[in-house]
Formats: sequence, structure tokens, C-alpha cells
Amino acid sequence: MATKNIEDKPRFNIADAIILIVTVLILAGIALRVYFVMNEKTELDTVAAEFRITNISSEHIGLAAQDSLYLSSDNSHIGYIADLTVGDMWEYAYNAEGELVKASVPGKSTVTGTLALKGVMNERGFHLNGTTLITEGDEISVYTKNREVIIKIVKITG
Amino acid sequence: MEHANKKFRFNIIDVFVILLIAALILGAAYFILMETGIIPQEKANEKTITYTVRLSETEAQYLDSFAVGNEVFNSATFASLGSISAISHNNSRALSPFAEIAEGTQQYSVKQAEYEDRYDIYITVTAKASIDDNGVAYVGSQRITVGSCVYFKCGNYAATTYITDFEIK
Repeated sequence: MATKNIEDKPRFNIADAIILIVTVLILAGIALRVYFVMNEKTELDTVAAEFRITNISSEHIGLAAQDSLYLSSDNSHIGYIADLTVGDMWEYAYNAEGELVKASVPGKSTVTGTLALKGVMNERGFHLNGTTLITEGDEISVYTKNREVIIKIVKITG
Repeated sequence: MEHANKKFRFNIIDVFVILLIAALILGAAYFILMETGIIPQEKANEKTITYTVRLSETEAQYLDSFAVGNEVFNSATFASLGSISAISHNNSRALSPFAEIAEGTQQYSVKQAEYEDRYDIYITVTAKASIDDNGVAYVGSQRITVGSCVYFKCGNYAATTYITDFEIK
């Protein structure tokens, strides 16, 4: 006689419980993260920052004032170039007398100027787009419609 | 006998885990196929673009590795980057640690010298590019702006190169 099988019913065991709990925790974590990111949309300030780009080819500067800037890592819009000046690139080298002198580098330029960056300035410092802390001396990889460069943030003037 | 007919049954957790694993595998497969260009991405605003990459300080033996018409690929993803439409080269130049007074000025300029056996090779590639909402051109997932790094592969030759020029037709 076939015993009707209590044992054949799917049973909920401890492994299933662990999987369920871990999955719920992961989904809850994702939901919380999305919630905080969505609600963190604080008003972004525009902050002025002096910048410098060195060792750029003089023939291919490719940058102009008012060019929009995007972060290379995540393609987010971070602001624009407020103004810029192109000058010679200088390095130290030895002259014929063996003295260390400042010399221009043929074919290379230095670009300096001011950026208008979007972010949040608080007691911890300036956060680009409200998320990434940027400090003086940091180098960031950015691009415009025409050019991709590494920019050094020289001074954040506020 | 009791256990002879013990059947393995799925419970709801097993079904859920299987669905989750299937979703992860499908997602990964889709991502890989998009990156390699097997699944074409939305061709929003597609234009023809020519761009030039520079292979710096390349040994002379590699000058014959490229010909007009050869196809170029991303060496990391093997996605197509277009085909070669022009090639030129000149001797690479090196900066020395020495300076001299530049002609007609009172200023020092770093001395340069040409390598005898190393070349900067300029390869112009023609491809179909999509232009995003910011006006930036992409060939597949490769951003085309001056200074962008391109992991270049042509035939059996591969190198890290940088874009020096581009034109959207």
C-alpha cells in the first residue's frame, strides 16, 4: 500500500532559509542604496578650480573656453572650462656649462586656466557631482567633445 | 521499499535560485556580445569617421605590418575599429637632458634628437561611428577624441596607441 508520502512533500530546510535570508538582505541593500542615491539629489554648486595640463602636444590642444567636461570613468557631466591659457612647457636641463637651466620643450605646451565644476562643498571638502571627493593636487581624466586629457586640480577657489 | 520511490522535488527556493543563475548568465552573455559588437548597438546618429592613431617609437621591422585596407581591432575586446585608409611615418624624436639657446631667442630650449631606427607611425582608420547626445563620437564602445587611448590590433601586431586627429564626415 502506498503510504501517502509526507516525506515526498517539498520541505523547507535550513539551506533554503539561508539562501532566502541572504537574497532578501542583498535586495534590501540594493533598494536602500538606490533610495539614498535618488534622495541625495542635493542642489549642486558651481565651484571654480584652477587647473593645469602639462606635456600636451602644441599641435593638438583641442580645448576651448566653454567646452563641456565629462569624467572619463563614468561619462558624467562635471562642468566646463571657464577660461584657459596655452603656454610653453618648461623643464630643467643642463646647458653647455653643466648648469641646470629652465628650458622650453619643443612641440609641447602647458595649458592653465579655470574650470567651473559641479558639486557639493561641505566641511569635508569638495565633492564632484556630490559623490567624489576632489582635493588640490588630484589628477582627473576628463574629456570634451574633441579632446581627452588628464587635468591636475591646482587650487579649488570656491 | 519506503524510499524506493522517493522523488526529488523542487521547492520554490530551488526555482528561485535557478532563475537567478539563469538571469546572471544571460546578462553576462548579453554584455559580452555587446562589447564585442556581435550584437550591434543602437545606431543612433551614425556617421562615417576618420581618425588617426599614433604608434610611438615603433621599431623599423614593424613598418610592413600594416597596409591600406587592413581591418583594425581593439586588442582587448576584439571589436572592430574600422579599416586602414592611410599610413605615414617619421623618425621618432627623443628629448635629451641638455638645453641650448633657441635660434633667434635668448631662451633655452631642450635639445632633441631623432632616433635612427624608431618611428612614429600614423595610421588613419575609417569607420562608422555613432554620435551621442553630447556630440562625442564612438566606434562601438571606443571613444574617438584626440588623446583617447586605443588598444590597437592589426594582424599579428598590437600596441597601445593614442588618437591624434579625427574628422566626422
